[in-house]
Amino acid sequence: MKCEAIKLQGLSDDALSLREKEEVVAHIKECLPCSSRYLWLRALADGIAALPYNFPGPSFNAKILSGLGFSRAIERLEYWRDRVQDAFIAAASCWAAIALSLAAFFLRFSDVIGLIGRLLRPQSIFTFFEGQAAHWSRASRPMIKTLFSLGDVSLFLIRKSHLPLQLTISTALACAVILTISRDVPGFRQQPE
Amino acid sequence: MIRAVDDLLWIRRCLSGDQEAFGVLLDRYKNQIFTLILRIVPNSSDAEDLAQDAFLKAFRKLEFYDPAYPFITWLFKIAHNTALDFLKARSPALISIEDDESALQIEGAEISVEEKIVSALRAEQVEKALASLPPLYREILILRHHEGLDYDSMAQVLQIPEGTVKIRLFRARNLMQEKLSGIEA
Repeated sequence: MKCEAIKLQGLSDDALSLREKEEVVAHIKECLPCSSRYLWLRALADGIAALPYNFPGPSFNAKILSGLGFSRAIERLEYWRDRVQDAFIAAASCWAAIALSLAAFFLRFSDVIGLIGRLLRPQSIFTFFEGQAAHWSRASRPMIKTLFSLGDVSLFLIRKSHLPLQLTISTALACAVILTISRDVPGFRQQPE
Repeated sequence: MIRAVDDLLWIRRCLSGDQEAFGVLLDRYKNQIFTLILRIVPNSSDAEDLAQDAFLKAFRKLEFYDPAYPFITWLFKIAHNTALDFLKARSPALISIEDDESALQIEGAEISVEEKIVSALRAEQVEKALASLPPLYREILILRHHEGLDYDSMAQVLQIPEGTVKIRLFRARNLMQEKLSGIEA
């Protein structure tokens, strides 16, 4: 048998008949150029086979599914989920801001009333909260106790009653809390890809 | 065989409009399709767009898929056509290679020079040499060695006769050898 590169390729690709295979193998054993060529073909095959796969981007599937018409349902669902989440975040932020603002003032006065027993001269607009504070403190002492502690912090931070400052701090604090929660809690809001 | 049967089950679910089934087939084959296209069109962004086009075409014509052949072969064929159409539109010269048998006397092709004995090729050498080949040669080497397709399957994917597959593969390997010896030198 003479040297035939194409037959070596066939052997390397396992595409020869049994008889051809035997012939070529016998030839390789006696022919240095052919055995070298065969080894090179094997090395090339192994080299290419070892190359890694490439991976498309994370939105690959979504774009195809969207192109197949699954998009409308997904988009509608995502639209309403976003709207509900936005409304929830806005409502929660407002509530937290109001609650924290009120708590800051309420604690200041209830702290004075409940714990020190001293009468401060409250500003007229907060008189209402004094009565309410006594009532709430009876109804929910543990909670109030915790709030009193927060009130101490509040008092420490804000020595004097200063409405604009307290409102600003409370609102900023509430917004920070809500924004942190909405960003960090998995699944709370879907991040864009 | 098990994979082929499993593919067929998911394909049936796709045909009944099951979104999850499309997702399963995508996850199963997207890396292979993307890798093949990236070898033909060496630009990641273009390759991703073309891979998406290929899957869209495949899924829209799913009822025409012949279960007698592996699903991946059918996908490769669509990916090959999509990538080639893109190259034709952009630069037709890139896909003009000689596959005619007269240019290569295939039966008589002999080993004229003594080959250097190579036991292993480094990945970066292979990558570099492969990148310097014409797209169609890159593609056939990937189909043969990376995807393990036989001559018959490659002929189906590339839509050329089996003899032409052998010639193209032969030329691709020779060219690869030239490039690799250039890199080694």
